[in-house]
Amino acid sequence: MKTVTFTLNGKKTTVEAPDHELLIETLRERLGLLGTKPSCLEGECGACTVLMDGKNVLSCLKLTADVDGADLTTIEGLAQNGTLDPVQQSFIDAGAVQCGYCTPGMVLASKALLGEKPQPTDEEIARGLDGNLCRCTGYIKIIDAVRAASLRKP
Amino acid sequence: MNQDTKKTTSPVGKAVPRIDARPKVTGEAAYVYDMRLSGMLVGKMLRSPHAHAKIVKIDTSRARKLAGVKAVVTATDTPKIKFGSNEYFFPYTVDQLPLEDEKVRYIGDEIAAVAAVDEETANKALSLIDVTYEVLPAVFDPVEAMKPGAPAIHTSMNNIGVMLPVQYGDADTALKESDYVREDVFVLPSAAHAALEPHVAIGQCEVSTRRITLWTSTQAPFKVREALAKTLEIEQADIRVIKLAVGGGFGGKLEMLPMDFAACLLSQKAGGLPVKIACTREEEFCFTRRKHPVIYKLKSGVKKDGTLMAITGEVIADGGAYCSYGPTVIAACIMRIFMVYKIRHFRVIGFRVYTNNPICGAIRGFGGVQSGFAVESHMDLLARGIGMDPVEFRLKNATDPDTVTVNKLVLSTNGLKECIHKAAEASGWKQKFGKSSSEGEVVVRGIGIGVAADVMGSKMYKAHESAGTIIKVEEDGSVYVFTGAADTGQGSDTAMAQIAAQELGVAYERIRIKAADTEITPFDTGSFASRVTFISGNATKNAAADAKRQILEVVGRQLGLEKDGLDIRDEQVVRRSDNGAVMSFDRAVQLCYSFDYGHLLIGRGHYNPKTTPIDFRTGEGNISGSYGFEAQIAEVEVNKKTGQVRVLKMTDVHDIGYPINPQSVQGQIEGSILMGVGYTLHENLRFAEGRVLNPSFSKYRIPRSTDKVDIASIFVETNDPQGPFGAKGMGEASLLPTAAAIANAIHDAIGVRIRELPITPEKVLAALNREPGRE
Amino acid sequence: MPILRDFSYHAPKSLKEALALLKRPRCILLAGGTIVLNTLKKTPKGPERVVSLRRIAALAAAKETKDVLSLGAAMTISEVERLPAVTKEFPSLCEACRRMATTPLRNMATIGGNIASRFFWADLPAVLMSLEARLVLETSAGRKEMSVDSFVAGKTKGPFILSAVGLPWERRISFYLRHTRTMPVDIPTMAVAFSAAKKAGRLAEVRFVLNSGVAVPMRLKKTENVFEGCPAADVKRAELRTALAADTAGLRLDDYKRACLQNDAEEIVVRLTTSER
Repeated sequence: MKTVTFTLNGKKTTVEAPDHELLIETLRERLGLLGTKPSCLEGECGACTVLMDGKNVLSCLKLTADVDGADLTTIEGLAQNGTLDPVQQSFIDAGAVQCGYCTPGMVLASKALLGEKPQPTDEEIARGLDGNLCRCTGYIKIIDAVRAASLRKP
Repeated sequence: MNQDTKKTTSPVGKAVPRIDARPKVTGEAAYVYDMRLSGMLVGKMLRSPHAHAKIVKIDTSRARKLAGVKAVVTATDTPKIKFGSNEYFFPYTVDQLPLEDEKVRYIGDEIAAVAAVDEETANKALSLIDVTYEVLPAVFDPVEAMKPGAPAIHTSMNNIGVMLPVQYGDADTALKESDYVREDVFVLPSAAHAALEPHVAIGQCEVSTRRITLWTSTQAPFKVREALAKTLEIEQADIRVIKLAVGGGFGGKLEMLPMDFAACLLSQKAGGLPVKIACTREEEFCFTRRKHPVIYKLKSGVKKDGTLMAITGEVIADGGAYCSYGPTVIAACIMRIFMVYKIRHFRVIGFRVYTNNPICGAIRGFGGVQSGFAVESHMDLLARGIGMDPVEFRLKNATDPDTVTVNKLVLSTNGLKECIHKAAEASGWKQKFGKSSSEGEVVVRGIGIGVAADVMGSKMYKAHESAGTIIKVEEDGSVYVFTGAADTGQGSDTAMAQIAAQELGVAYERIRIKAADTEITPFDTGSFASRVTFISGNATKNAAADAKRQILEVVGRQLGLEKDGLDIRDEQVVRRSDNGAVMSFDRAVQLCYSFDYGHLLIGRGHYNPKTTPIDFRTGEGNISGSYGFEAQIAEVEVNKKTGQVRVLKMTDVHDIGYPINPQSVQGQIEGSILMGVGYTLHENLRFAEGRVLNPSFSKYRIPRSTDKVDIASIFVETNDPQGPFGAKGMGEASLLPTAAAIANAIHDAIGVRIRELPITPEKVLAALNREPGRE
Repeated sequence: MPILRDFSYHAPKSLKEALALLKRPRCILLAGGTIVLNTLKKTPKGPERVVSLRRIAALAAAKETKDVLSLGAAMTISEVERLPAVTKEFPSLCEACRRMATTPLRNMATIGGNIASRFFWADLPAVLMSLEARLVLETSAGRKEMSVDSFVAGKTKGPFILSAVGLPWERRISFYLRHTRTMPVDIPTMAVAFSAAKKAGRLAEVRFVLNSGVAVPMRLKKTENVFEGCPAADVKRAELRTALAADTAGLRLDDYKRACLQNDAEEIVVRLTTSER
């Protein structure tokens, strides 16, 4: 067992987790944060995406013990007091949400992209989301949403 | 209602935000995969490692003794009743036991299940179940399976699960009278649905009453309930199937699977503790459902002027070990042609063959993707054979509105020709077709067309396929819509809310949807065959109209006005004559609930599409209340050195009747087309000796954001008088012509015809090297 | 849950500490985790100890010396891709980083992991070989330097920690061409890494490395000779074809890969010629 301390959605958090536990398991089973989704569990689909120090990473390929001291954001950490993050709102407005299973990962990957490239081209958006599979939308409205979010005045 | 809330009245036809989008973007939406219940056990299935074997003995004693194991079940714990998904019309296709006891027929066939306190214990318990098999010879190729002497998988002769001979007119004479006849063989591979949420089920049994609740990721809760009732020998009234948010279905979640059955049975045996059985991604690829691989042979004849004289052929579909939706698939694989082309002489025979491969079932398009590739490629070649422009050829032979086809389909609204014209115009067909240039260039462009049609309100599973909706309007003006329709991401909840709001005359934001719970919502067959907008939508519209009528009756009485002269629009009761408001909706509702009237408002509606019975000897009968049509034009770029094909643009023109939510319709079109592009260029579920070779996203590549295709989507609004507000629906049709449109475009670009999917760079290069300049 | 089998996790703060841990039985290193953790999920009997390199700061730093650009082995693919020195001086390495995997995997995976994993489909060994990179290995017997050629040939002895990759500055021209069987984001079927120095308008010290997917990355020496000492425009297609065939005679390459290889060689000539104008 390891005692792991990290910042989670802005709050200092400490958990006890077995050495071999993956971050996705800790988030879902110990912390009750179910927005991070298991789908392939081998790093190919992006449904388990979380932000670590601002970058999108895959919680199914991260040991909880290995995030000690890190700054983590899950989908639950985006909306503030019921007000949606602009990226979340853009996804709704653009019609980018169908079954919704890829959505938390997709939104977080979009946040990471915009954090690094505030005015991305469509090609840069597509590339930034290349780790997040969606079977429903064909990606067009997702890219529309990210583009719209990038154009929103702060 | 809150004064500050946004109010979108008359929402039909508008891109209102999805009613369930908010909890999905915050991660709050509840999927069965996320559910936790007190005392919940982990369930696991024991699956055959052999493709074909007799079960000699199953000994579960060691598993039962393991600490932490709460239940172990095999076929002996069940009534041993078979189930199938096309039972009503094809009773002989009921061929699967939830837990097999005599024989296993594919690698993955379920024979036992365990429930334990955690996953590790459950896995250990599985390993402690001792099964003695007598391995039998297996057959994996459908052509081999049909030969005399092939291993018999079920009891059907030559392993033919379904044989569908379709014949009209006199094809042989018509072929003789043709000016040009050609034969082609097309080969279509298997594919996976690859929905992001794998299959998962939680069963809970109330032991004292034997009542069961099943939460499952499904597109068709009522079908699951029906199958559970049959196989568990429990009344349907004592089974409740609940659908939560579903992470995609695409046809793979349209029926009861053994894991649904096992979750319920295990709970019963475990003293009522809930049991969750979930598929890993690998299990999802290997043990759920997949697309029927098809060999499609066609021999057709045309006249010099382009008239299609006769179509003949043979379809051989590998169905895997059990029938599932096989009959529907093979039927759709053949019969769609009649929706699209005027044809009087026809002879195609279809075989859906059993093999010892994993089970093939419904997948978006129901066989129409396979037939779309074959038929539309073949039509292109026929056109070329007589030197006719492929667009002109389609127009020459396309069906017209208000016609009855040779197999008695009633095509009322039909925008097919308009779709073809518009697609040609929007894509610049005339300037681009046949202009692919000289030998010298490495990267060349081409353009190709495919057309398709789809049933929008079909009756394929039962004598009736009605949907029902109940609407309750409460005293404070809240509106609840109870619909059986299952939203798996396509937006049916939103569409029902829009239709209800539109018909009732209130704001979209007032509506609350409660859907797809067999105990609470009225019956609905499920989300498939693009039926929900048309059938469930009509039911919802009827329920809203009923509720409105009740309100107007009370208002009429109160004000001394004729109720037929009143309507509700923009949240006001108005006079039809001059649109003058007489009372607000809220006030009208309060009036209903007031002492003088005491009228509790419940609106009821149902809808059964107008079809005619299908004569299964001849295949004649109008199977659907409505048909949708489309033309799709693909523009591609081919690199002759590397064989890489890039889809530059897809122009999709669709007769959808009327869009309830244009953004949702576009979303379906865009998603379908990319799925079609994936199947055309790189998806291929590969097998060897009955085992899936690429059961992971790293080896089975579905399109990523970097593969997105530029899509121009145009609607043709034919306003079907039978559809709710003229709508027909949208779900599958857009991936039916995609493969052929792309293959036809490649032919235009490099003069080479590829008849086998996926069209990989290797195939393109090989074809270029083999037959330069010729088809 | 749990997805992985039990092991003990260690996060040493220094290379010395890490090397000491490596002496113990059934011990593996963890950097980005993108390969290791996936492998563990499929391994019936896993390691006893997992040693994370996360806390060893020196492993994640880039350094420029007179002779080399030194990249810390624990630098992520994303970090390397974005390093201005890499974009400017080593475009083939930049391209390889750009093309491999997906964004989140590039954010997690390290260049050290890509090299040390010894997978046929890893992109970096071939590129680094073409750039004459020197690998710095830390062992309990001290620091060792090794060429990538030796490393892929399996010439390491005993436990080691790859700590840095040194890229000599004088590689002036470099290309990376990568093929996949399906779509652009996919494991490579085949790749060619090319680099050369320029001496008096002619190509010198040419490296043409093939990552064939069926064997370790290898230099195609006869093909290199076709380029060596020539201005790009003089390279003859027919000569290339012959040299490539001779170089790959022993490899099981199907027609598609052979076609790709020929195309790549010709593409390199085109790019060289274009850049010379």
